[in-house]
Amino acid sequence: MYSLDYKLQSHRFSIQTRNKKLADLCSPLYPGSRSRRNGRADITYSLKMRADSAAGTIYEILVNGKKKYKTDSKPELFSHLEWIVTCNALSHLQEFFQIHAGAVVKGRKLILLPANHGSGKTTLTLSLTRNNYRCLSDDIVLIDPKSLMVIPFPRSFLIKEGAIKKLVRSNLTDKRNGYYCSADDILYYNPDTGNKLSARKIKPYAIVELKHNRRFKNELRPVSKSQMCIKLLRQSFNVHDYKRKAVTILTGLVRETKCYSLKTNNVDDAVRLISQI
Amino acid sequence: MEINEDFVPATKKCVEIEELDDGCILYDTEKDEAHSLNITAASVWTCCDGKHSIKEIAAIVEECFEPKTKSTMEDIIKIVKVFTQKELLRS
Repeated sequence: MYSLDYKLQSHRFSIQTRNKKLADLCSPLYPGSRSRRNGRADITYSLKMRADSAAGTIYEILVNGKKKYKTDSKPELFSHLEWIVTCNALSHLQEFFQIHAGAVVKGRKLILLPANHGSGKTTLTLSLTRNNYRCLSDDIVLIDPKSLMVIPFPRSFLIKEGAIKKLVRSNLTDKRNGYYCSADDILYYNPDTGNKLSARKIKPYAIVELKHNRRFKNELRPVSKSQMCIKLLRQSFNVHDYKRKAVTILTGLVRETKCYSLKTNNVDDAVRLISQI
Repeated sequence: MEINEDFVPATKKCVEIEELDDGCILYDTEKDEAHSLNITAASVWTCCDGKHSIKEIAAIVEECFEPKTKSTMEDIIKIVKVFTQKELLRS
């Protein structure tokens, strides 16, 4: 049995499988969060693989021994595994205020990039890592409610289908850091491989709301802190658990940061404008 | 309820305020809703104490902000109407 143990802040989980290839494919999921087995895992995920006369190979995910997912596609297996692990990790990490945002840091300047799904957070975060920014997260930001420090959520980027070709064409990813499950299906990319700086907790310097559309004129403009606060409330995963406290956390956060709205029609200009902050 | 210059707005006790340099956030603890106000609306909010009429609030705002337009009263009526629509004021 291969057992991969992880620790994401206070959340411990384990991925187990009897198949070495599946174990190898699991290892880049949460880079930097692998841990030595030390105490009991909160959740154990088991991956099973079996031959099926009709469907070929069948893959299954079991969560604490219960069957949760079945597929005949290896990329779908990993996409779903990553989704289940992330959802469970977030439900365990309620001690942190959680925001749907990317986060990058250069020097002491940490920039939060809140945006809706499909607004280009991953693409922009990836591009910024190629411009000497360090990635803390492409999608989920954890905030310590007391110190208002940002806690890194170091998962590999999950890049799907068409985006892989696009990113490879623009030299944003390479196979050295990326991890293909299947040539054109899914790519795990560890944005942190080339950067040996240790993760530091740091308060945000700026918050940049992303809006991407081919018709937009490239523009970075300051926005009011109260507006940004409402936008962050809308992008929170666990606002209902925090309620009034969420407002206190976010007003505390925006009080000390610069708030911008970034409208862009291409990633290069987005990087250029963010670099000016 | 007619909102005119004699109307005396009063904020609900269940609405809490977090002040920011360029406005504020109102949090309705009963409805679990947050609202953002710009600095003018935030100033109007703090004047909605159940003691001052809109006319008096307009005079205070004019004194504080030296507005360029002469429509302060209309603007404040609009702001108070929004507060009412969002059920942030006592009826």
